Amino acid sequence: MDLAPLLLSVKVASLATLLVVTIGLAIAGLATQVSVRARYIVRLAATMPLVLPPTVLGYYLLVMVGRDSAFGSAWRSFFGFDLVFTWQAAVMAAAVASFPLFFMSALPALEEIDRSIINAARTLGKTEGQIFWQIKLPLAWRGILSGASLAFARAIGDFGVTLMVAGNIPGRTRTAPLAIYDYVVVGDRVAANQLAAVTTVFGLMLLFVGTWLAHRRLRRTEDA
Amino acid sequence: MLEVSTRLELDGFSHRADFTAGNELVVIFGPSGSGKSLTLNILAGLAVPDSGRVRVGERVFFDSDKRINLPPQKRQVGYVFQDYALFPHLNVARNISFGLSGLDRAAVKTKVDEMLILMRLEGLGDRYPRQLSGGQRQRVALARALVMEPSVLLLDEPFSALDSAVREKFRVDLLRIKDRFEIPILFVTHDLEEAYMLADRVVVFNRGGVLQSGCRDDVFHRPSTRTVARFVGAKNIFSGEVLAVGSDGCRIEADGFQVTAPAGQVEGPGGVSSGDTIEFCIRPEDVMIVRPDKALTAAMQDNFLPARLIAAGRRGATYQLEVKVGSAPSQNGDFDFTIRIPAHAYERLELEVGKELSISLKKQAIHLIPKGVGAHADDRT
Repeated sequence: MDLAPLLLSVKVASLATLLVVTIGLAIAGLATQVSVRARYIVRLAATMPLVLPPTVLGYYLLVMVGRDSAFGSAWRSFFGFDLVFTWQAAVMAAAVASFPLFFMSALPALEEIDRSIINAARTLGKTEGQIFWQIKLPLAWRGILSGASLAFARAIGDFGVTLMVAGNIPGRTRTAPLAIYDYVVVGDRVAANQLAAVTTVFGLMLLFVGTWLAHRRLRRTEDA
Repeated sequence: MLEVSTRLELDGFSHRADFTAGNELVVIFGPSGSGKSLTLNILAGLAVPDSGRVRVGERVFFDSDKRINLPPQKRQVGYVFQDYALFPHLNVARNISFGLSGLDRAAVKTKVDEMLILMRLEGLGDRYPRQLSGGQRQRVALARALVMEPSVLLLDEPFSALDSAVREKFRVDLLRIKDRFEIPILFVTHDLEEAYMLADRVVVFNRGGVLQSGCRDDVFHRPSTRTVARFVGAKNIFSGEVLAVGSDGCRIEADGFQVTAPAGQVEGPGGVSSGDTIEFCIRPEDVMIVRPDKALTAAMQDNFLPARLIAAGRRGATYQLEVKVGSAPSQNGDFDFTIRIPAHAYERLELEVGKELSISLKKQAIHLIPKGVGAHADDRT
């Protein structure tokens, strides 16, 4: 069995998750500081990728980061190669597709921290940065981790967005879902079955961990 | 020394705080939604006023004219929140040491241990907040605030979640803290009894503004408005007409009876003169029941009134009585005076509902409510 597509998927999804968690935490952290109305707009924008068909999302992304776009040219002049149709583009595609899943879990986890706990930390001399690391993260970690695992699961399974932005180049951008598609098209049922089975087990494991953490958070809230 | 003079307009709510306090226990007293907690938040820097000034000791926390607004982090204010706001993921010792910075491990441990002893929390340093009782949580919150050596201590409704046995101990804790730290301690409550028992100074809030601020006895016995009188439990508040003003007092005709109040209470242009309509009050514990077999002293004769007992009910160690002046039976249970006497006195007097009795209003305890004061905070509640 050719495991290269799966390994590429794991690499792409891991990096995409890292990107999503870093950017998502920064945005969610800022969102808890702004007014409820502004937060509503942030929430709306952040969950948008969830409701768009992956090909549409991929198309928008292609337009935004393509060779002729401002971002695409900036990328080329900085890194010396085009972003589209590379594994880096696959990372970006997976990150955009999975961002809402992380954000929708992390933001409520940060929001539900009691305001007076934050205020107590302020009166005890802690800066907003210290409060984020010492209070918010430890109290919201379950929501953050469950969001990260759901984002990873979504990233590893992405097909449409990746195909649009990174293409389907064997050995370079052909991730597991794309490889399965190819196996089916050429009639290699055995290879398709094997890769599908491994990917399914992997995805189920992640889903289990993510859901379990989310459930524990819910139970903790209900107990409190 | 603490000085607050601030204005803040919120959506449909206007908040004005004006009071001063020394190193004493200050009770911020008033009904729910009157702006008490907001006052604490303004002091802590968690709410920012539109204008005014907040000063604690020599440090100016807020001054709109000089554009000074210290963030909460720099105010050194000890704040015990109503729900205590302990950090659930940290044990007691780490909750207490949370705000300490720039100290080595040994120094932190010494300070934490000292606080554990002071707040009766020995042996609980490793516990987590969820493993503590309500009273213990509150003491952890207090220790966490006090270990920072604050310049002022704020407590939001500290008694609301405690049962009576724990309340009693907490009162003692609070007095001990007052002696040891010598800082202004402000606590918010709407419990009259707690306010009376603990306060050196009382600030009465209503609808976002200060109705009266002063030492406890002034506020409780000489309320500046009818609303304050009602809030502080004066109970017997009347409107009457001044009949005569002399050196021996001021004779007032109220609905169905006459009383003499001490002269010279109401200051300002003209003071009180004959024909004026005036409001006056007397606290329930200052109305005496005169035993029939006892000779009347001169003081008692001033305001000696025949009355009838309409209702009586036990309130802990005291009885609360409702009496109507005159010998006519009450219509629909209406009454003129509320009286509070110790339970043993009630039993010795062999009082019964419906029975005639005599009451005497201590002349010195009759307080004339000044006219036209406290108009700001809408006194028509």
